[in-house]
Amino acid sequence: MFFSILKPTLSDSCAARLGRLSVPGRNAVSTPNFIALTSRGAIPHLTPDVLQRHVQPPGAYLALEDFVEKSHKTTPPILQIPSSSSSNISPLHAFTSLPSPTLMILSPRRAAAVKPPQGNLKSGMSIFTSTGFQSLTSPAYVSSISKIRPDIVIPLADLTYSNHSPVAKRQARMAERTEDWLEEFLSEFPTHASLAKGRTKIFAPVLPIDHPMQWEYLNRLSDADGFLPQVSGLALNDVDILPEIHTSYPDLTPLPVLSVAAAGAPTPHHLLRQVSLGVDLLTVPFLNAVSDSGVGMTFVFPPPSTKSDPSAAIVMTQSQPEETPGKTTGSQQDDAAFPDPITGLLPLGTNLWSPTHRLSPLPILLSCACYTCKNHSRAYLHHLLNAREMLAWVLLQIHNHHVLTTFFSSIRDVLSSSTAAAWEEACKDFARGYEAEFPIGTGERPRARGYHFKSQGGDKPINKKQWDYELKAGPDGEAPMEENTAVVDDQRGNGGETMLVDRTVSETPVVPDPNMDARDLDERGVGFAESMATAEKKAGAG
Amino acid sequence: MALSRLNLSPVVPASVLTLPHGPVNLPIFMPVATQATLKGLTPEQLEDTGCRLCLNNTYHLGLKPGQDVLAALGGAHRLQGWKHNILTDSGGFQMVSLLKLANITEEGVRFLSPHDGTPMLLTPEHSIGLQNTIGSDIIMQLDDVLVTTSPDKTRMREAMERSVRWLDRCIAAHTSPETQNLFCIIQGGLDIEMRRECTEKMLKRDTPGIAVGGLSGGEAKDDYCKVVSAITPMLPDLKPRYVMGIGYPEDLVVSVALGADMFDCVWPTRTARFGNAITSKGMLNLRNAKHMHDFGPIEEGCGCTCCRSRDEGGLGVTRSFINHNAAKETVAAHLLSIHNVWYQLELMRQVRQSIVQDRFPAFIRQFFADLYPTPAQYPKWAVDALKVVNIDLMDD
Repeated sequence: MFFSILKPTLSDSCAARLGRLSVPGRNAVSTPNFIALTSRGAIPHLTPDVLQRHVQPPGAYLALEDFVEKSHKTTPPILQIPSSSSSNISPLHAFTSLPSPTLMILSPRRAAAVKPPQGNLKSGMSIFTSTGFQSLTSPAYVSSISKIRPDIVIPLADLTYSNHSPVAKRQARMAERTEDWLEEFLSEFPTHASLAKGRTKIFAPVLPIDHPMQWEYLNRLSDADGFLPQVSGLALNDVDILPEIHTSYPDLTPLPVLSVAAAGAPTPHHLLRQVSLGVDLLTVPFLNAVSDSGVGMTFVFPPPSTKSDPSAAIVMTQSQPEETPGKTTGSQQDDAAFPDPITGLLPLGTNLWSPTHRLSPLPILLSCACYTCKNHSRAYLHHLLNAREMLAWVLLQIHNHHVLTTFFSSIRDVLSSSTAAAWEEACKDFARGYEAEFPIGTGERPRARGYHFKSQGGDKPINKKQWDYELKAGPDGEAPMEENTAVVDDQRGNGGETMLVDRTVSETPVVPDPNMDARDLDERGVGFAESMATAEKKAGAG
Repeated sequence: MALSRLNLSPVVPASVLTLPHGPVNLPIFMPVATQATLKGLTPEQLEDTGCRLCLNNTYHLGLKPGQDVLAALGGAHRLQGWKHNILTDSGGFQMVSLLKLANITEEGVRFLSPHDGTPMLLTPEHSIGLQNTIGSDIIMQLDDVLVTTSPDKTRMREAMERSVRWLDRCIAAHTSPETQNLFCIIQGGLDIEMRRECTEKMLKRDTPGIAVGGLSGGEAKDDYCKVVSAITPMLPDLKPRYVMGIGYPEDLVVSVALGADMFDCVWPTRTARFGNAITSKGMLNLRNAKHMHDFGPIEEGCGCTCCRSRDEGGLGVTRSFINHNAAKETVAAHLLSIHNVWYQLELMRQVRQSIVQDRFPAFIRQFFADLYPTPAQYPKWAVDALKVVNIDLMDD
């Protein structure tokens, strides 16, 4: 059985449920769980060997648009990679080197995608390749899928990628087109021999519009004579519709639900809400961005209760070194573990750019068993960020993925052992105990990489230009760092037309720059590699 | 520290160097983890390449995180979570190469702080004090570095003699000679006589190891080889001979043939960030479009984590995937760094094995045959330098 519900909806008011997703050749995924977002087939900063050893992501969300380049001239390599001798290694696994137990979910577009300037065509969806937008039709998409063979695929949807809700007429067209495209998709699907075996499951998109605007489409989805027999799950672009789906379409209830809403979950509070609504698989749009901002996550579920269980806080105090060196005091070091003195709220994360961590031998989170926390101190992470060394973001990604893994496994523990009331109480405790937002990382983000946000008129570049930097800087690109300078001003996430996601999520822009290739990046000194001029200057500086 | 030689060859050494954080095999290539991290690799990944001795730069660590942090955390091993050996330079080279306004006096190197422009002074005592705090297994003396191509003979002599005087100050300032091994650095530019004179003076100080400094600064390869082959015969058998800043594969194998056995360079990791892979057939720029549909490993037969297939416990990374993400996702740079560092260390492992098995000349001939399509393309400096030590590259 592809998806089995182990513990159904807790009560009428709480739709949270426990399940298990089983795909041959992959690790079974206990739900609720999270799916890691990839960029160009990589979970940012994490090499596949680190993923295998220290992260073990249950699933990865990949976008076809990340793999299509110069498609008018040549076939994208991902469509040409020879089949592996092992049936467990899909071409998608082979191309990306992602661990074979990881479930692969393919979507036409990234979770947070660039708005196409011309919208979608009637024939298909506009996808953003490294050489600009091109239209993807259902038959072409299915043909790609037959070669790539993901475990789960999300068909085309007529999404506007605007942060304004479209007018009613447009909404009606969205539903019509999505229905037409899905029909075409489903009729095309079995014609490919490699897909006919049914290993690739289809998660039908649900649109981010109100139920009355897409009831016809949903009707057909849930109809045993309609799309239902071929559909194995739902991909929600807005989770708010889920209660209505459960009420109005009981035939859809047994299907696993994946949330792909880019703007839907900027904090773990939102993740808990999604779980309560009955979402089984969650993409976590803030994960990569929080790591890039230099923040290490510190939240746990259920929240530590200092009233009923003071031991947690005492352990923190005892493990302080007897004599704290330098000017740093114990209370400063413990900002991750102790509530804010004024609000009484626990922070969701700790900003490792902060000079309070300069001398701290503690791990990011004392109770954490991740590779980063077992081996490295906050002082080291602070140093790496300060030196803008790439390992900072590697270690933060390992830690933050681990925090989320633990978060979801605790969610499942609570769900399996408690009643609806106890679950709701735990969620309320979390909301009451933790701050509403992540702390702001006060330093620079990793140097902009090729896929980064294309500035539309008036936007300032993400990072300082390398040459400006070197004018002011000392040797070796060592700029004078003003540690408290918040570079998180509003210069990029200013809510312009193209911003789909709120500021927290978009701090690291997640969409490619169509007018830049790797050579430009080097020449213009904005790639993560050093500029050639710098390198030559330093040549031999061994 | 102890060194045991595995072979009796008068020139080419293969040995085991026992350091406070474990033994290392010589000849060795040491990757450079400038700021207490090897560009994007976790200490565990560095360990996987077989690395047991890497470099940190004293100058960079002194600026960031700073001596107080290093002292508070208990040194650089603890700071970066590295269980194996560390070598630190003295900081002098970076002062001179990176700071335009560095000024060298008998007291030390005067420079303006890159943080706030205030005048600062780095003396031999400061350098050793900082390296004592870092706790590296091998530390280097502060030397007066001058580009070898400098035409000023008087200045060159002054630099050489000052380096000797500074060595005495370094030895006097060194507080932990039992756990940290201080190496002298031979100076003297391209002047063979001056180099020999310096070597004699330095050897009298009887440091645990000997380094040759000031090279790899743009001098002709012929001149480089002459300097190295003039110095190595004067050195005692049971001390490591470190030539600083050397890293291209052909430079490494020729330098071993000339009698040196320790090397370091930032090049393998830097070139990785530009999408370049080091292979036995030469450099491969994986950003080139011809690799877009190339589904082979970075190098066929390579034993690194990236190149080994999944069946062999590796990742089965393809050239195509590196091409897809080079300069676009940091992951591509990390993967190439893993490969390039592995390549360098594996090259030295093979060199060492061939020395121990007494077939080093054959190895070096095969190495050049792999690297160049025809013997006519062999670099003349390498052919000439190897002839001096009785290895004829053209000999079949």
